[in-house]
Amino acid sequence: MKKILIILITILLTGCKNYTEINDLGVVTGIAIDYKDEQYKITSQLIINDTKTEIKVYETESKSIEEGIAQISKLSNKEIFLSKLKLLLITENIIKEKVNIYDFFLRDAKSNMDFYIYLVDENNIKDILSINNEQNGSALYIQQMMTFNERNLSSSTKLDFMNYVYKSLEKGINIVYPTISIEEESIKLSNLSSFNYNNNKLDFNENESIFFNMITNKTDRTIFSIPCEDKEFTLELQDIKTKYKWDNNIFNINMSLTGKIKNYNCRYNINDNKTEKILTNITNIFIENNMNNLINLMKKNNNDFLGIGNYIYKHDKNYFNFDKDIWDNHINELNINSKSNANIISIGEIRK
Amino acid sequence: MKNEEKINSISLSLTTISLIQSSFWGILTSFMLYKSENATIISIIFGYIISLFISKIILCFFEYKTSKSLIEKFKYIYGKFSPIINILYIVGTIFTYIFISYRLSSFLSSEYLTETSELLFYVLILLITFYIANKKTETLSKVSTISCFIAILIFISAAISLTKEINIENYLPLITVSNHNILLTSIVFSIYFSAPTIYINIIKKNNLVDKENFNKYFYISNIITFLICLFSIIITIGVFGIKLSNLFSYPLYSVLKKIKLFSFIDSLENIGVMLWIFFSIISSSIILISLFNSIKETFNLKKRQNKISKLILLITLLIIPMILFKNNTLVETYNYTYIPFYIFLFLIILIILSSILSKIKK
Repeated sequence: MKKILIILITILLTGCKNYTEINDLGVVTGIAIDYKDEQYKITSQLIINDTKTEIKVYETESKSIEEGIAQISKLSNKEIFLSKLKLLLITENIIKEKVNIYDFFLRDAKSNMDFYIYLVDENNIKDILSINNEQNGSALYIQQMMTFNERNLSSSTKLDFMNYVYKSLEKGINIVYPTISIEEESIKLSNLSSFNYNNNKLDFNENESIFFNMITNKTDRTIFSIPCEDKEFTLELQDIKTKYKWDNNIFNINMSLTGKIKNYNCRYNINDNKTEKILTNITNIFIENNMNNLINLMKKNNNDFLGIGNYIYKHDKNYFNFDKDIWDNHINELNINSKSNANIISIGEIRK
Repeated sequence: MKNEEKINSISLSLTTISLIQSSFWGILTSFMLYKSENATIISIIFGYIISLFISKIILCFFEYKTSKSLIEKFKYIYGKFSPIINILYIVGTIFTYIFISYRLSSFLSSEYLTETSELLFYVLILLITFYIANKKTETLSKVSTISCFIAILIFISAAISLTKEINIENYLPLITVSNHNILLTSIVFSIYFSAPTIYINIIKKNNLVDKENFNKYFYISNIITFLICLFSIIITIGVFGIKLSNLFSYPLYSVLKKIKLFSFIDSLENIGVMLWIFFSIISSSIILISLFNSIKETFNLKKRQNKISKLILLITLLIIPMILFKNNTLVETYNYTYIPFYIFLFLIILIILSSILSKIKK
């Protein structure tokens, strides 16, 4: 019995079947999907190891994503390897046509599902995927760019694939996409964008993008220049934490944070005890105004990008019939309160 | 005491962890999440409470005529009808083996070697379990004990790694399905949770070194198993949310993909999934030992005849899935959950009936 087992294991499990040389693999690091006239336009960034390592971009058109990938394999003469995918670019057409792109990646056991999604203009796809091919390729470049952005300004935010699927399936929430554009022949991480139920696009400005990240707990630090009379002071915000509460049909958003003064030009004497109180007050008003601006933007565009509907569904599922009615059309009827609780903890190394 | 094996109560009770977990991980989770959604947590708790009563009956039957094996007990209770009962038990056990092992092979085929046939994995599992089962209960109990500790260690480390990914909001709203669905999944869970423990009968209670401690260790193992089931579901829903969890065929495996150490060590799900592989191999081996013993005792086989019967059993276990799973509709739908459920239900009814008759006979 033991001998039979050893012989069988030697024959069956030594992995000679379906063996692929690394030189025959086309490692996909970035992929872009567009959808037009019932055709998928797939653009792929491939790392190819022949005599030397090269990054190449291929474009195909097909009836399905699977077919498109197969055609790229044919064009590149490589077996497509999806496990190292880092970047998925999608266009407005994909969102407006409500094309289900996650099905392909979830169903394919070889996809590791650990990549990020960005919204791009359909005309920029090839440029974005080709621009850094002399170095490490744009997929890695964009990943690095996002890391630095999150560490400092937080005007954009990552949308990982699983989070994208999660939000696609949940009730009462619209997905907010990070966007990428081309400016002066280089890749730029732009502000956020979102689409409501009726496919109306909403582009955030930088301030709105930062406040979206703060309200949805996607960032815990950022920098703002806050006006104080006719001057300004710069505050580095830290430990940002936002809590929601649904109480008596009123939605409450409470944000708590701490701040460190990085630059100070106001007229108030910083050594005066009252100044800290004044600056805290100014900061709270500034933050609350920006929060209210974002809430008004949400109501005006009928776009629940904050996921308030989702929160309400989870805490009071009988409040609204999410299955029969369109939540986005009712968001403007909602009573929303916002409150900021800032605490300035440091004025830096100088007393001026 | 010719050919009588002695094992201790801890080893035997630890095998129940593998027996229960093997079907829970592969077959039951996606069905429960689909039927009860977030209320699966409630179903598991209710189901466990129901299973305690069934486990009590199974334990009582285990304690009945402690010098007799399961088949000998059937022979004693059912008299001239015992061959029919024994054959029904053997058929039920054959199908239990097939459903547990084939699920593991279809998982390995779909997640790892997609171009390799499920049947090939099944053959390998069959050969491994056949080899282990031939080594008798004593060896198996030692392997099972070590595997159980490794599996529990893997589970704890995976659970700790995933705790930071949990979003409390994902548990709300807790009840989105009808009471009927919650009740159905509670019953299915209780049957899946208690029925596999019937296979503790692979050994006579008298052959336990410390038989007086068995019940205590049995309930401790039972609680550990319940906690593993409960926390694995709590973590899966907490990390993915119910809608996303429902998309996956193997949600407990998919959630393990979220584990990352130091933000650069990934693919740790492949270590995590060893837990299910351990449980399935051990439980399939236990079921196979039960089959060997049952066939031998039912037909009063001699040594040579016994070897031939094992060979016939091997061929039977190979041929049935080739016919049963010829098309994919059974493997990839929730019907896969119902068949083991009916087999387990039959086995439980058999044990309950036997317990009642044994009481009458007394």
